[in-house]
Amino acid sequence: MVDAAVALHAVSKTFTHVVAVDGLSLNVPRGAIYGILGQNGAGKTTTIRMLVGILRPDSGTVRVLDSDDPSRIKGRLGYLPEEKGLYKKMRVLDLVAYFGRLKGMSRASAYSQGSRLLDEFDLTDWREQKCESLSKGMGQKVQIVATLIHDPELIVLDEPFSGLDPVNVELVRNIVLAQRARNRTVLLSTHVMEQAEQICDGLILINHGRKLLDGTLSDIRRSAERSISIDYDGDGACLKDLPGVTRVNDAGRHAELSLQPDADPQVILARLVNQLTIRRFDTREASLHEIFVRTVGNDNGK
Amino acid sequence: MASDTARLDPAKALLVASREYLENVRTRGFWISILMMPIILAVVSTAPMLLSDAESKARFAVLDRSGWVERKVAARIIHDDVAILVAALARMQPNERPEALADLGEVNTPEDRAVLVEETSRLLALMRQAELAVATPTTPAERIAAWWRDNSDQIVKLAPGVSLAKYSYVATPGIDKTGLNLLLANDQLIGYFEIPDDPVADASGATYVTRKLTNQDVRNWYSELVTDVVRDRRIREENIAESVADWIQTPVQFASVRLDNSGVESKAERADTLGQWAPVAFVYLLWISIFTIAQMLLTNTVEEKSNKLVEVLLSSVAPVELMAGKIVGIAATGLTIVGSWLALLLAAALWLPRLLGGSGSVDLSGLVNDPTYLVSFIVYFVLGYLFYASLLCGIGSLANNLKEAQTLMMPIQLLLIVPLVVMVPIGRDPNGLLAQALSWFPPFTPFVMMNRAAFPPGWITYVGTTLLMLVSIFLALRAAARLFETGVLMTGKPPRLRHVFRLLRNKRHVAG
Repeated sequence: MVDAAVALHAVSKTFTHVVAVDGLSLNVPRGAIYGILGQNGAGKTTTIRMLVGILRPDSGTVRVLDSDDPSRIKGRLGYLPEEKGLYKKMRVLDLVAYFGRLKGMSRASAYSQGSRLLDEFDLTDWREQKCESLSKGMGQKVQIVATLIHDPELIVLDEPFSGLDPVNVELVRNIVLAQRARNRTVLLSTHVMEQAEQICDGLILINHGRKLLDGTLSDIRRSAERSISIDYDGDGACLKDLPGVTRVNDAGRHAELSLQPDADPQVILARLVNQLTIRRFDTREASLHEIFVRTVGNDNGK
Repeated sequence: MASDTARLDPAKALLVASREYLENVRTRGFWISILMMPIILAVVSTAPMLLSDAESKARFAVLDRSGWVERKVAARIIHDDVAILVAALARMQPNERPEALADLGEVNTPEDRAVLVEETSRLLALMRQAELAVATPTTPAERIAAWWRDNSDQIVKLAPGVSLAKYSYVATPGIDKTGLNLLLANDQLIGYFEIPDDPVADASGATYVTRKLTNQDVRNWYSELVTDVVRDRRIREENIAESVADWIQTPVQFASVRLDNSGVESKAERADTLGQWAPVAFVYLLWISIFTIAQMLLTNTVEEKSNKLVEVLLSSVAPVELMAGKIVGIAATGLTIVGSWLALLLAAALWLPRLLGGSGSVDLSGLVNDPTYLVSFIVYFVLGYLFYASLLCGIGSLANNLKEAQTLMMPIQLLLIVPLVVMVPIGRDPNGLLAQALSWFPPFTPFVMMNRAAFPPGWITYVGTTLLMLVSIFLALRAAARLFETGVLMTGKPPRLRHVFRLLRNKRHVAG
């Protein structure tokens, strides 16, 4: 893909005893918001570190923007790591300007752009305060300002929503969407499937350093099994014998039934009504959460 | 890959360095700790002096059965003290002296001064005996004598060396032994001397009675004076000519002579003594400042690591730029500390004696006159500093918290004990085998070479060890960069020593 912001090809990375990333390929188109999903330890952070030029891969190619060596174009990338730290004793404006200057901005433009962004983020009154006086949410906003100050072409956010209250989650989501509107590419990793579902144009699911799923949200949904969700009273033992059902996730009064592609929900409903009291019957596409749990569960079971 | 390591943008490294420096220097604690050091040193070094001042003068009395010894000794004490005072006055500018003593006539040659001393002490002895009144002092000797009588509390300030500063004679006319013992019991005297009837014939009855046998200063001082006086009398009674007596009594004194590299001999003077002490001072200075920066470096690095700031930094700069910045920043911090201390020390040496009412200033010319001496200190100081800063930077990057950092520091702390332990033996034998061998062991080179500066080795050693240090710093920097680029991203338990060595050999994970 010529216009890819990120193109990984067969990338592997091994630490002393651990294969962190194993033959991973990935394409992220420019101007897209892309989500990297995976369990803790799946290889998300290692992948991200290779993307932003901190780590070098053992094998495979990493092409970011138009460079084969992301460590040479650090000034065009913005990276917000998972744990967000600040220099406690520095003033907010000094801090964001410092990070801007490390990215190659001049002193003057780093300070003017820094104040402008702090205004935009409602942090005007905090400019001259020390970072240690910031609350967690404000600290994270300052971190995001420091990530965006040099107007990077590719923005990489590791768990940007973790630890935020709903108001700030909303705020960060709007920031991410605003970047896409300006044709910037955003790559983010997250645990919160609802967020990924709402804002990501494309997704990649990795486990044990390998790619399990990749594509747009509708691609992934289409490739996934359909399922039925029911609320019932009665003995759930009969659920296992239903025709066309591949898997049952029974919680006693609530169950999720995974269907074969050719199964007919009407037949199943008819069978159920005979044996149980059905209070709710719902056919729908699987949620990203279900797809995630199921796919990773299958992979780990192998 | 090798070329990647060399990719270092000095501007970015300097940016890191200046942030690092400002963060350290901007805190109030930093300047307080800079000021605390000389204050603590000053207190520690002056406390014994102040305490001994408080214990103050040893008050003594004399029970003189001979009838003449005490008087002779008193005259001699006055003579010696006047000589010290006159010497001190002669060193001052007229406007620095007390007003009454501004004009002393000619005091430039030793002969002029001797005449003045004789005359003044003769007058003082007369005053003491007969309460001789000098209505309006006219001659310099009269002016000094009158000033002496009226300002006895000022004498010690002008001439700290006078015996008056330490010992004080208490006149006890008509008081017998029982009375003196009572004074001793009441702590009004530290002790009294009992001089026998005829010390010239037989001095075996001389005793010093005291309750404090630990303090023998006053006994040694006074018995020496009595010995002189009695010896004079004995010589006179034997009708030995004065010149013969002087000749017999002339002591054999060994003058200290210093032989330098070029084979030129020169008299050891006061500045030279300072030259002997400067190496020790610099060794301590380097030592203390390495420990100080170690603390700052580890605190900063651990902060960045524990809150993952280091990842943001590494997404902007190369590890080698970050490390170089840290080393330069911390070196600037350390040199600020040392520079401030030296400035304070210099100011203290120049102004403190005057503030305390003493005279003149410490002579630093010995340091300033020989530029190679000072330059070699600065060079070895900076070299030693960079060497240890690199090591500390690499090792510090492996730690996740300060406790781990302390553990990792242990080997370096043990290493640093050596220069202190060998400081005295090397100072005593600056060109001995120990000094020569340790000069070529990089962790000790800067310390040992400073230590040897009082009797400097040949220039080959200087050039050789400097080159050795440069190579060592280069290697230390490379090893530190290796540890740093892996270490700063590493979490969990810090590696054991053998893992550290493996890290140094292993493939590199981190992008340049």
